Amino acid sequence: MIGYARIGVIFSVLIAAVNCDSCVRPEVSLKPFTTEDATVVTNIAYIAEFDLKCESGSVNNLYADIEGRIGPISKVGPTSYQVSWVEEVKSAKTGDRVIRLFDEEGYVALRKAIRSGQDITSVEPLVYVVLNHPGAFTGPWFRSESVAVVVGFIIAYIAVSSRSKLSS
Amino acid sequence: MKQVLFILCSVLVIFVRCNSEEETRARLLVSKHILNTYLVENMDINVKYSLFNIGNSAAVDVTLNDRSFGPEAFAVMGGQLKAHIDRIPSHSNYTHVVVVRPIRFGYFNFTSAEVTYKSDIEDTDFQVAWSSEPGEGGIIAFRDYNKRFSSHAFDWAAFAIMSLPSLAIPVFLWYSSKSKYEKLVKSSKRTH
Repeated sequence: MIGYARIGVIFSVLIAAVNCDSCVRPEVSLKPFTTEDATVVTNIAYIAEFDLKCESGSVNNLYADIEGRIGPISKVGPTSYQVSWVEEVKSAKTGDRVIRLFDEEGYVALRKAIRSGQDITSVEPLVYVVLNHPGAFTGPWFRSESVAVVVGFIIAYIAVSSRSKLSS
Repeated sequence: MKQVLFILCSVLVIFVRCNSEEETRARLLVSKHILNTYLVENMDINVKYSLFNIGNSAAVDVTLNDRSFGPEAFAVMGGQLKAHIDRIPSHSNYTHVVVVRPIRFGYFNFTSAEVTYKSDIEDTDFQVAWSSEPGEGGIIAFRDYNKRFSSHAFDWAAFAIMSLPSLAIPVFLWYSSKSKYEKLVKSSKRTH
């Protein structure tokens, strides 16, 4: 009986330790980067560098879910992380890209949801990061030479038509 | 005969053991790609690192470090050249992207990045891997790139301004003589 009580105490201490360790009220400060001039590159780079601070507890390993693609996140500083990927210039999506971040517990829940065929969006993330890509410049719509030729023709037409009007 | 069989069996067992040991460890293949059509001074260069774990165990304590983009030649615009990934599961990959801008033009040798990792969680020694090398690339001066690829809108605007007098002066002369003539015609009509 005493043995059970001891085990119970140990378990509750363990659970408390796990709970204390997990991040409470995380705050994210994002340093975003996306390619805005795509004239010399073949792919658009999406880079979200962020600093994650917890009110209490800490987080060690983070995992990201970028529109269904799940993978680990790299740590680039004591509390800073980086999520990055590339997309072809033609197929690169513009606007807000939502990155869902999970800690170890959330990642386990995510894997469980995938295994059981559940919708992964039902698993609540630790925190969201929104990366905005306004679009990239791929070059001018019209070549300036063609615009100059068109303007030249218009001026020539006006000149010739007004001259013929005068002479008649 | 029995002895021969015993030796054969033990060799087989050793082979199988070695093989299984090989397969249970993590193995990382690392590639480094430059995703650009042109390399231009003061314009983005996309560098993509792909880490594939082809082993049957997760690679842990993975550190990617690229020392080839020194601050004297490149400015980092996005991402970090040193990153730590806690765990890359077996048969999965990890992508890391960094955007740099060359400060100078000229030829530059894009060398490999270094990756250190533990091939098993119980390992104490780190494995060292090197990424593929993109090789030497010529970085074009921004002026030369602009000369060849820019829209030349300012040049055409300057051309239009320069050619304006040869069009505007005859038009102005014609207009002034026309208005003068019309005034004359009006005044002669009044006198009659």
